[in-house]
Amino acid sequence: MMPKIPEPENPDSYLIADVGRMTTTVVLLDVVGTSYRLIARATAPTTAVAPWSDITTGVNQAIRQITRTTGRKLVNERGYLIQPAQQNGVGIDHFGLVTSAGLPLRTLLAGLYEDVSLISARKALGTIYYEEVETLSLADTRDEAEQVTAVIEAKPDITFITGGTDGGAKARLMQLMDVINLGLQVSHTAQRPQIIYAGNINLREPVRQLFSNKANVHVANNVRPTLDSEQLNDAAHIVTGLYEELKIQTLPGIQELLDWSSFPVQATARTFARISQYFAALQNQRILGVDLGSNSVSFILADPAGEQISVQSDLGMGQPIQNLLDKVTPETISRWVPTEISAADTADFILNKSIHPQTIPMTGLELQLEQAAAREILRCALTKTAENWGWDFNGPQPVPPSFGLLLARGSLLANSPRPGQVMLMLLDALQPAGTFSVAVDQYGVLPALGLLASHAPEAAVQVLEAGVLSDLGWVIAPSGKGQLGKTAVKVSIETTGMEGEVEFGKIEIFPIPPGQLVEVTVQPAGKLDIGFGPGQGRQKMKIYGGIVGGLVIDARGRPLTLPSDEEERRTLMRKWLWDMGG
Amino acid sequence: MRQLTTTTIVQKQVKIRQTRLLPHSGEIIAKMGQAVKPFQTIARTLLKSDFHILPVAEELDITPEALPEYLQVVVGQSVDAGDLIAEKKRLLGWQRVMSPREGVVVEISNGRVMLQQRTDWYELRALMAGNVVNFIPDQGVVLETSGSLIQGMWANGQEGFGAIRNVAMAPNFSLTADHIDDDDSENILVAGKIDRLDTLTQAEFIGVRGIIVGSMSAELCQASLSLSYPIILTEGIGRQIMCLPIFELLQEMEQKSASLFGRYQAAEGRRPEIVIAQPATVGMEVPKLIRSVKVGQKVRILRAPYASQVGEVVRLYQLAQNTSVNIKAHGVDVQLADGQVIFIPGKNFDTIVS
Repeated sequence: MMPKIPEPENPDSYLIADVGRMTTTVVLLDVVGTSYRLIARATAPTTAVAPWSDITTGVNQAIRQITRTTGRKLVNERGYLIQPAQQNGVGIDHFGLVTSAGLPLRTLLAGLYEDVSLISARKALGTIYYEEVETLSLADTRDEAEQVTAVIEAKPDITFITGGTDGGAKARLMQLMDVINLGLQVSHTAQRPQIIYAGNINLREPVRQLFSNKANVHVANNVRPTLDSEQLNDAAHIVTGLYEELKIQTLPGIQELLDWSSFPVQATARTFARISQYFAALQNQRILGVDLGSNSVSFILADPAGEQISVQSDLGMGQPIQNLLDKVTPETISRWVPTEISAADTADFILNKSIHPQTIPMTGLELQLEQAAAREILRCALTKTAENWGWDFNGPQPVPPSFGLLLARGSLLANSPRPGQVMLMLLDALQPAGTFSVAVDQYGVLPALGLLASHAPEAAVQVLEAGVLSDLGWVIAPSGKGQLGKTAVKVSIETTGMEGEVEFGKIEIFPIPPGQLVEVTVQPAGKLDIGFGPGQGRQKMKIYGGIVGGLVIDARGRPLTLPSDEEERRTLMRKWLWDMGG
Repeated sequence: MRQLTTTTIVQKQVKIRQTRLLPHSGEIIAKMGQAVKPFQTIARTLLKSDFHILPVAEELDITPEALPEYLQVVVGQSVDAGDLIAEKKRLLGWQRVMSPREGVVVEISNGRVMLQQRTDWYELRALMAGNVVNFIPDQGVVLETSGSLIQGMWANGQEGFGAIRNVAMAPNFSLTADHIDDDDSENILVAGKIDRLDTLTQAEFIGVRGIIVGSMSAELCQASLSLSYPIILTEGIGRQIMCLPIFELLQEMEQKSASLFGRYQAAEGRRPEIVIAQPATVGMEVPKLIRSVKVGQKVRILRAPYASQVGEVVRLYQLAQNTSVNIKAHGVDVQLADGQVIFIPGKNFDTIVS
């Protein structure tokens, strides 16, 4: 049940730009009738690097497109935003900016134990775009001199130091800090990183003294105050602030956009997390958000009480796609391709995409390859997220906590030719189990709404309610073991009178017109679990039809197993794609 | 509606600026306004520092706070192997800590003395004839010259200088080991592509100064990272041929001296570059800035099935169009050399600046 939102008395209009690494999206939000709507959105290439080297060029280009589409004049002849909006509809009341265009924070991470303080530190760091360029810990077998050399050569933007429970170990942590201090001493002044200390509370003062005169020291709450507890928010807040200072505020041309802005600029991952959490609170359910960006992959697990964020900046569909070849073999990628292709050609494709990151496929095979790479990128990122957050694993496949809505975004997902392809990519990559719906941020508006939610929550809610997301549809995916060819799930759609069974190993769609509310009764066989307990079904569950054409029953099992025979596997890929209307 | 476009510079006569940077801070040797030659050292820094940490307080059995009383060196002081670092009088004689090696005392902290041992110098060469027009303190200089400039797509991180030898008669010509002989030790070899690993090893054996090709496979790119000479790919990874404008310009530059700048930062938008310095001509300017695409412009297609083909923009679309794989995209119609007109998404071509 959505809360009743008061109608705006003097509604303001909003123009929000999301400047990504490859693409800039600008959205215009204003009141139509009695509530806020997405009036227009436009995209342009991000222009942070040569030949433009000024992000305002891309933002202005997108704004001009909006003007052309809506007839609403937003900038004056000199290229400045007209603020506030005027009676004749010219201009805009508020401009806002979110961005993921900055390079990740180069981070030297120092802590005592890999599976204690370091894992907590990575969770705090993983709330923003960061790259771990060097690690010092007790497990490090290098001698001190080698460690000092490593500290100097890492050239980090920040050094994150943690370790020791509050009131616990001091001496070993001080030894690590000695190494960092020596490294700082020898580093060029301009290359000295900022330091975040989030370890044993009793060492705060010695840390300040040690690094004074050499670096800015930020002290945060210990990320691991006891062995059994974590407190990440304080450190995450400082890391976010440093990302904004070092990586956002230094984007070429950003000053003009900041001058236009009514709100502080925010990182895209944070605003996506905010809107996911907002959505979770509104719908009173858990949401798994996934953002497959060009230079990062973010997972958000949000529920009404809060959210967890995991951003991975070493993977993405753009330049970092090349890192995928360090994590999986070309054959692991091409196993999702229904066309015969060699490992060498797959590797060529991946590397070529990394040097032409903005490009899109123009052949069927390249489309299949890009979607195959997307599956593996999502799977690798989910695995890392699951390891960091301590989620369960089913064999090699991570099992996210159950959720009611899978909220997906990213250029590849939003621009795939058919919704069935998107659904299949998500199901193959994440292999979620249970009963849930899937929605895609087709227009790329969620980060903008996340920014808006902090300042004008009623506007964000009204735009969300107006249907800016693409509802792919509902999915029932049983977990547990079944026998191929035997019934896995019985389905009965009361409203349409359709009944049927889905065999274990198959994926099928039970037709429901998009947007139509139906009642579904579903019963899993044996001890298969569709999210309500082993063998437990549901009577007259209310669901909506999505644009994939109906209710998806994914009875292929978890984890998915693919035939080892190449031709058999390709045939199965083609069949799954066909069954999903892809 | 204006469509922004990425560009690739393939210009025969242009004013060229190259920023030459040390890997880390060091000493700038060249002077402002100085004319430099390709092999001239313009800056230098220590290649890599070896550190040695002496636990002096521990060895003298004193507290770290007491160390200054016994120290015989100060920060910044050079020492040789066997030099005295600290000493403490005992009942019988002296307890001494000696330097185990030559070096400079760079830090005294927490009872320990850190020595930095100087290893070899890294000398940054100009790599092209030109003039120093700007200084970046402790980091490097900006050089300016005139001549031809070609932007590449990928490189193996090496740099080089040599004479261009066009091995290829056509842009799809594959360079093989047979094409490389002893006379090529001063040359930069140009061809359409490379298909085999033995081509790279033969070039290393002969000691070529560099290779420019359209493309090579991911496997060869990986192998090329350990080679000592630069390789620049003008098109990308795979089997793309060299695009015609680049091929033709390199053909024209036969036997001319070229500089290959293969250290680049893709994430920051910096690309590998080929510079062929030549005398300035009247009215020579810096490369034209093309920000948006227009009808009549020459563009190069970046993705299959037309990768590396060059054509002319014949129509701009105001609205997004359906591509051949049903993705909606803004783009243009391009007429290829064979007369065929095809829709190409704006993201899938770059404009040739010539």
